[in-house]
Amino acid sequence: MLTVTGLVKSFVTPDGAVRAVAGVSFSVAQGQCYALLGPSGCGKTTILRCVAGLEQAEQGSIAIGGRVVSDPNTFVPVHERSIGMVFQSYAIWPHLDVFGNVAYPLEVQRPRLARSDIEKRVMDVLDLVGMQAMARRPATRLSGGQQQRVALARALVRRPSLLLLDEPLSNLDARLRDSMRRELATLIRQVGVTALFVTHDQVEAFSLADRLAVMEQGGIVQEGAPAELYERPADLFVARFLGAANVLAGRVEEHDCQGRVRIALDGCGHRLTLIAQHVPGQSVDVVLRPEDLTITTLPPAADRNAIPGRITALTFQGGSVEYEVDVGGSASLRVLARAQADLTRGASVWIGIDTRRLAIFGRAGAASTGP
Amino acid sequence: MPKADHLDVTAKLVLAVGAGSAIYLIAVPLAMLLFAAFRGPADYLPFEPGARWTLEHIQALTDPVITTRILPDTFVFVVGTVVVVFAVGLTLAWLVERTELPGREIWFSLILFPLLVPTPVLAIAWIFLMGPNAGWLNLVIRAALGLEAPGPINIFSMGGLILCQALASVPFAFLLLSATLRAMDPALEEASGTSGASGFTTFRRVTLPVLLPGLLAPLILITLITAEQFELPLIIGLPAKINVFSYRIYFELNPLSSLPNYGGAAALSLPFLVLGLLLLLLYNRLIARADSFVTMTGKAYRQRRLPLGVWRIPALALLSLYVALGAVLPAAVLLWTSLFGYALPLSATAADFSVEAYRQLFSNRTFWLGLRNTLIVALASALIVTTVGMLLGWIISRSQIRFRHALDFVSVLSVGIPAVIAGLGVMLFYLSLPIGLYGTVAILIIAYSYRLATTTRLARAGFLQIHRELEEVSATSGARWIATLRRVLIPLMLPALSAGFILLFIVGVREFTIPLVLYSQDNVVLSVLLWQLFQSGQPASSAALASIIIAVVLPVIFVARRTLMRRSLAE
Repeated sequence: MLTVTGLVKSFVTPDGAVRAVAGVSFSVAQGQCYALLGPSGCGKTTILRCVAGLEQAEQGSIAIGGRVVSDPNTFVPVHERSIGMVFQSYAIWPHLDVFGNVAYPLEVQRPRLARSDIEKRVMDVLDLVGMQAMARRPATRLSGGQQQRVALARALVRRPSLLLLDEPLSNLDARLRDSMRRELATLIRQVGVTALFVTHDQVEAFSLADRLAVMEQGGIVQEGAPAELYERPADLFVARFLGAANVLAGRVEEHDCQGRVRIALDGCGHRLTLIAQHVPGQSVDVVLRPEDLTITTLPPAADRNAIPGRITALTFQGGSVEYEVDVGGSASLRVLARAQADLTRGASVWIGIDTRRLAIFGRAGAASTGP
Repeated sequence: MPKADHLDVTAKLVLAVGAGSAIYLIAVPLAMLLFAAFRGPADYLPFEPGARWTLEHIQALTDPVITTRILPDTFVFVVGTVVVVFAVGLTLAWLVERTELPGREIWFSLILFPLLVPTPVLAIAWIFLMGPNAGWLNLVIRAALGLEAPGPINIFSMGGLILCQALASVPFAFLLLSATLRAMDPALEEASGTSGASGFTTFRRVTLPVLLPGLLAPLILITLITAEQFELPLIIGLPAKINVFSYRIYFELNPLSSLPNYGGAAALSLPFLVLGLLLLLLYNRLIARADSFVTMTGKAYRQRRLPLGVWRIPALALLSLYVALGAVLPAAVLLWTSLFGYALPLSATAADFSVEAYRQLFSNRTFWLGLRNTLIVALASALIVTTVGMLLGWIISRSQIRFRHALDFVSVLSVGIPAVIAGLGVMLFYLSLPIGLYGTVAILIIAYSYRLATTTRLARAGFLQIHRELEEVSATSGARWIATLRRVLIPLMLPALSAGFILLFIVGVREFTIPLVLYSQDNVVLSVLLWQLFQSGQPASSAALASIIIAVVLPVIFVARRTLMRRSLAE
């Protein structure tokens, strides 16, 4: 449905040209929801704007539904592309009411549509987003969630081949974001439209996307289904970005014939034993997700990997608690677990590590994980 | 960012017409002026057969009349006026914006009066009030103090000219300075207070440094505008034998007993334009600094107001004095004179009352022609400038077109071009063209339309307030640029555009210099007719016409008062 090949786009700033997108390729299948995930400034929004036709790429090509809309010799202007876009600010026109906003894409269509057709299609799409009753409400009197629905209805009303969403949930407050995220996921599936969206929030990407690409500095670092990326991050950057991960630096000490290695952690001096391919002497980063760690006041069985420490801070997060545990040296670990009465600030605890759930990256960049 | 190559052919055409018009309206007459300054002989147009290159006009600038009379007179006039205008304007602005002055809104409107009526209306009223022999104020003072005629006030002197110009220009300074005062975040001062600074320390260490660029920028602009003044130097300065630059340019074109000296007038304009350009560059630098200092958010803050206490009386006295001289007395003396002629208020009888002046005026064909021309020219030029200014604003704030900064410069340049020079440039250009535009209403419309700076700035500010995504989502909805302009941008810009339009309409009605320079029997406008009536010794008729002009302008002001007060005039 959408094919992007070798896309390059730079911007001229006072400091010289900056490559915002440096040779990006990916494709989105019909009906798929694809996310570009990355920190701000990684080039994801620039790609989206190139696909929309709001920016022109220097190199590479973009094809929507088999039609090349952008390559070094072709540039189909934005208004001639079969797209619908939801902007980060929602960009609801304040001088029009809900109906006027949603009807706009149909009204500017040539040849003209009959008024009755426009009305029917607008009301249908407003019904879809649950805004039919508010068709005549002025745009200035809409809440954030309502604005988002109107923006979505406006993007869908002319039945585009491709729906583009720029950080669609970042303008909502935290609670509304959760419910709108679920609603948006259902809606996109229900309509069956092919969608490309950008976000910096991995929860958003995981819950909305069928496939996603993690981006860094203008390039795609890893691409795949959400579970794939979560389970097998390609490098430290992806691992860090996909979860608020703990990263401990260490060094491989031993490597026995069964493929077991022992890793001494820098700073705190504790050791982990696990199965991996790294050779002795190699510097590694050990990535531990807070939700994969256990925390107890009793020492675990001797054959389990565990690190002792002391709780320095607790942050309640609804049902669970995030514990900040000082494990000696300058290292500390964050652990996400259920609240327990004996886990208080200053308590001595053991952090249990399931070696199958951690990732190790050699400093050179090669990854290996538990079996 | 949308780029130029995203625009379709229609969009490019519309924008090109906008940019082309700006250049045509401003740069072409200026270029003509530049040519004329180096072409001779003097009474030849620059491209007339027989004209040749010459430096004689430039050499003529060292004429002793210029160096010993005009230069000092201009200097004294400008410096004197600026000092008074700035001091009074700042005091009034501070009183209205930052103190607990009673009736602030009313004072605000009254202070603006001189800015809204044509300057010849005021000039004539002030002559009625302060003429050395029969001026009302002189009569009152002489009666009170038992003095002999003439005097004691003589409006036909440098002091009188400065007083009148100051009265006329104070509202301009007032608007600029009150915008500065209003834009300051009071939290800046409060933070100083909570840091332990006293009121005076706060003023010295915080208020003054923060406001300084915002005060200096208006000072520069007032200097520039004062140097450009022509109306009062003509109507009041000429009888007083005061010669300033702008009047001298007009004199070269309309000498008493010889042919017009085009080259001389053009050469005289050059130092004027250079000075204007320098002041403008300085102004833009200061404004950029002021903006980064004060109006970061661009919003007006609720200001902490100082209680006036015993200073209430002098404050009210100052305001009353200004409003009396600038608005109430001029309006009163004009209305009275139009009905009673030279009979004075206390000694007039019912027999002196007459509407003859109005009857004469209404039966005068020239009056109706002038009224029609005034309205047509003001409306048409306001429309042109609003349209071109909007397109320029879009190009400057939104497009990636390479020449956009040059266009910005061209539009800003219009502030530095005195009306008399603008009129001269247009005159030279259309006299040289073999099309019969000279002497028509159309040439006035074109000449008036060079004042692009204000609308361009308003439009630029307007576009900056419109989130770019509101425009982009129209494109992703399938709309072409022209549809986006019509259906999204213009509706969203309407408040700013209509404020600019009304402002330009008032400027157009006020215009006196350009139609005087380009005067013909067919394109007479009311302000020029007013001066002619006054010159030909018809006080009652000219007072009647002045009263009618006030009556035409006032309703427009009241309709648009809020938007005018708060946004456009301050630009």
